[in-house]
Amino acid sequence: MKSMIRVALLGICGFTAVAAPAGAQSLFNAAGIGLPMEALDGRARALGSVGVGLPGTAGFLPADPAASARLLVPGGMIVAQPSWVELSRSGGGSSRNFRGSRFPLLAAGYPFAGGMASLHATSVLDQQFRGERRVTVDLLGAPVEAVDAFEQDGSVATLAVGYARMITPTVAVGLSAGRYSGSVVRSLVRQFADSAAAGAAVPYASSGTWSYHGYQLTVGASADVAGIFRIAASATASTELDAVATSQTEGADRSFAMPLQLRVGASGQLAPGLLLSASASMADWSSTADDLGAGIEAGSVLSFGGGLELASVRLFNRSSPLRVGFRRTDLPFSLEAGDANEQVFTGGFGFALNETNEVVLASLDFGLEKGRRLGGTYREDFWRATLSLKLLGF
Amino acid sequence: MGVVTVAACTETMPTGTDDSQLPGEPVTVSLQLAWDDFASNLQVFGGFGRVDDMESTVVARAYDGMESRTLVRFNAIPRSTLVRDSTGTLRTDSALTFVDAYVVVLVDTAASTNTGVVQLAFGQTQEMWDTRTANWTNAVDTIGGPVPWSTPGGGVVTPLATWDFDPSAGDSAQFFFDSATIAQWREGSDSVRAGRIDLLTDGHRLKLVGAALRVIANSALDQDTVLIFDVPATQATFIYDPPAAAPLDGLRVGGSPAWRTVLDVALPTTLDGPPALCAAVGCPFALGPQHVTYAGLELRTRLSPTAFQPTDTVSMEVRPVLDKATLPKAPLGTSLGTAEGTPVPPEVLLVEGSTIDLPITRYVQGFLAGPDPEGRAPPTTLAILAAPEPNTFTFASFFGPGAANAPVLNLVLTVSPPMEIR
Repeated sequence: MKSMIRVALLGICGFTAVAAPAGAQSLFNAAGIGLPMEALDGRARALGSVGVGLPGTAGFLPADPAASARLLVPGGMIVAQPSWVELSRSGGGSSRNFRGSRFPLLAAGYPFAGGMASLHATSVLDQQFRGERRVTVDLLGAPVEAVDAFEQDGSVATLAVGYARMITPTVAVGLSAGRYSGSVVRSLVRQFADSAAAGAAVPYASSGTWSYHGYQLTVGASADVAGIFRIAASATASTELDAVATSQTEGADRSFAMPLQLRVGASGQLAPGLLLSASASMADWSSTADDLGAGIEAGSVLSFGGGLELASVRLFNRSSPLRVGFRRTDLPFSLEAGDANEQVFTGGFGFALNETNEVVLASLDFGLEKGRRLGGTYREDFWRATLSLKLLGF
Repeated sequence: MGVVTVAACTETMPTGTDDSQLPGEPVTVSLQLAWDDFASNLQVFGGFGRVDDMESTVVARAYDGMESRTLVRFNAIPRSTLVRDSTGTLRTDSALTFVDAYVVVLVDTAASTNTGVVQLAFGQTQEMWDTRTANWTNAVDTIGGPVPWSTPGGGVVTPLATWDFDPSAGDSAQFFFDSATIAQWREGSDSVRAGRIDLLTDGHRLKLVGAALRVIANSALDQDTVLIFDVPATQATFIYDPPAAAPLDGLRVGGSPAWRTVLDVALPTTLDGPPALCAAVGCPFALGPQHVTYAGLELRTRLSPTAFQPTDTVSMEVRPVLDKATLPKAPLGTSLGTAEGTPVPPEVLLVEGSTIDLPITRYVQGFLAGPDPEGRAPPTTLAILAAPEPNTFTFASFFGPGAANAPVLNLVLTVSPPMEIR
């Protein structure tokens, strides 16, 4: 058993080591302030959940701060998420493919003062993308081809500490306070084509670097009803996200309003070993769009999804639940005028690595999503895999 | 599962299909600064390098009043060699019978002025000469005291042979020795194995690019064996008269010894044009090093004196003068352009008013950047010189300030508004 855990840990760590820094997964990163990312594990992804209202070891999900109160024992979780994307446009033209991996969640919990203290490192916004522009410029009277290569490399993350406890045998409350961090580098390089006049022309470069600062607070509560239902809700409020330019950056400091995020979720046992879950979230990004200016539009976005978990499946004499689900998510920003959204069909399974007296102490959860994002003429078809390792009682 | 996850570890960044998500387009504009707006204090200095540094020599006769002769000294003729005898054994043959000898001279026909037959002569010099210091007047011209030729122009020579050189028939001339000369050169010292090449036909200038002494001998060990020795020239130089006078105005680059042109630079830090630049970023515009995409010193050719008018490519480069106070022998920085310099073909130099552009982008960027982290200010003086120096007997001439074709500074600037976060 221990060897299986060791193998799993090595697998995750190896994956972490060989992967480049968290890679981008969508061209929608270029829209607005970036593409919101959700810190979900493989189980929540497989069930189409927004991360609230799930029973079991869902206590590590930052969207459900009250859930950790039910963990009782120390634990931790790491999540890796590769994806493969094909971008196309309805107006025609060739499609583009890209892929990347990121690590949206690292979480830990430890019993403290009658409850559970938690620590979360989570991804919030992905901003990585690049683009090119081909132009013809005049070099000493001769037209010369040039390429403007733009690259934006950045992301926003949070580091949060939290605390949750049961206030009644069936009701738990929790909160977490986090700090936004991260940075973005925006650089534009104009390269001149080779020519007699351009042979000695040096590239032009313009760039800027900003670091992100801000705070967020998440509160939540959950309750078990009649022993077969779990209901939960949470809300996240943030200060403005401040982007502070470095001393070498000519560009200005900026601040962006971050929306209040509201989430509700519920799950229930339809039959022994069969779980139904549903959840939704809502956030109003219109104030952020106002701060972005330049005609960028955004409003309230709704995300909802649900799924089924068949928990009675066993593989190699270990608990290996199967999951399917569906989810639809509005994207706050689009690459063109109009709304954008993401829709996925999900599936996955879990595998208990260490199970003692029907208590799973170590498990892998795998979620696989087949989905598409639509926004204006842009369409992204993608596969997204989520692999998470949970350890309890160490 | 591991295979699935690792498969996405090679990151490919999302790339847009158009430029709709890119920040505003930079503006690239070209402009020219007049001489008075960027330079001053033009000076021309001569005397850099030695004639014998060149890999070619010159002969000329009454070419726009210029005379030039080539002096050459050969290595010793072998006295013995290994020969395979009739039994097939390699043995040293020290009883060689020299039957023929001649000097072969290679001519750069493209860089020579003659298109028809000209006559060349080879004579044995009778006076000691120093390849490093010999000139038209002196055979030796060192600090210890000059030793003049008995007759200016290489003294008296013993005529050995002539050759009618026809460039349409080949690119070499041969001067055949008689048996007495062969014997004398075989036994003589270095001073004996020296000669002077003269051009006997008026009105031409020839560029010589190599000389060797070819000696043919029969072996005493095997009469059927003919041995051919190529004896290389160990020293070569040329002497000419009159030397080029310093220019009254304008720029001069090249020659042997070489000419350099030096100028002081003072670049503006703000610009009020051109309109395209002002429209893009507003004027006055604070010019910074990051804006300089290209900077080139544009010169306009003028004809050199005919005797020194290039018939071959002149490579030029620009270097910063590191210590202006020690001009003309001031140390120079590295070339601001390519290592081999900017080649200027002779046909460009033959047309008055042709433009050439010497890249100095790196220098202009450094000038605008100001002192380096150690507090050293950038050089404010530039030298324009041949690359390498000297590389040609002829020199290039250019119009100087105050004339219609004065030098200008070509600038290509690329400017964009500051990068903003969105």
